[in-house]
Amino acid sequence: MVVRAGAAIDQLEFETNKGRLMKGGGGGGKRHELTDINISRFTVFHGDRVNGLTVQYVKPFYPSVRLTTGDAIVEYIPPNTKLERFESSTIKALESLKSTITKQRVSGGKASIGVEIEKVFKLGFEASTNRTFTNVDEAFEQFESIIVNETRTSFGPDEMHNFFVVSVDIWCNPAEGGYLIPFGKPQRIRLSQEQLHTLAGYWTFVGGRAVELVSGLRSIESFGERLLVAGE
Amino acid sequence: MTPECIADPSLDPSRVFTASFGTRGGKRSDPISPSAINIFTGRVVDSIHLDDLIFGGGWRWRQARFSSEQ
Repeated sequence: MVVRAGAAIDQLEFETNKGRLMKGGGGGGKRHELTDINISRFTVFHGDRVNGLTVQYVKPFYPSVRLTTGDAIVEYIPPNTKLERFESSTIKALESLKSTITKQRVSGGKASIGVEIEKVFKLGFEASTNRTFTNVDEAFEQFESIIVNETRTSFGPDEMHNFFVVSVDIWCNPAEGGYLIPFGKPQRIRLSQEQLHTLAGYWTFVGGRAVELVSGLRSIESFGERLLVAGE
Repeated sequence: MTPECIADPSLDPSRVFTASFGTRGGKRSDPISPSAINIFTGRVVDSIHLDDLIFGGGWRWRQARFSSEQ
């Protein structure tokens, strides 16, 4: 990205993610250049022209690759806990998306992943609600206002372990590891202690990282808490 | 069978930065993560269109997509 600027933005030049070069403006002002970056947010100062520009960017940026699809546990509800869930399929899917994004939403050390999943959330939320949002924070705020009047259904309590699972795309970032992007409607599954091994092959989050439960779960006492605090 | 995803420790972790150019005169937009961007330019950058939002005046324009295919 090249910017020439003084009292105003004189010239702007950058390449899009699709490889197109955008360049325009005059030769005034001082030249600034940022290389090997991925821009996540713009803030514009403007009147009759563009006076100033603040860009938030990730550097270095390593694009991710989608490896495959799978199923992920996005929430664990211990036995003897009363559940309350939305009835609307759209709201269920959005809630699952928001929850998953929040668990993996990061800054600093996992910046590439954070930028990529926030773009997916924004686009998914816009497609599901027919609204547009300036950024993911505004989408989160709008979601909270939308769900206020949504109908909820209560379940339980019962003695089973309750898990909410959803289909996910599994992405790999070369510098930062794996992460999950959910799609579709989450499903509730109920398992006894003896059935926990059937979760083999499911994905979940530990410390904000995507982890595959290769052997299922043996002890919910040791793992359930980590599920609940994942992403913190 | 799921392919493995192991981060390469030899790669520097990404970091988030901000950079400001020009001046802070006039109105200030919210921070915007656009899916599309247009710029209108003459001797200076007259306006920037981020998605459906227009900032500045503008009389000449170029267009390109900003977002990924997602």
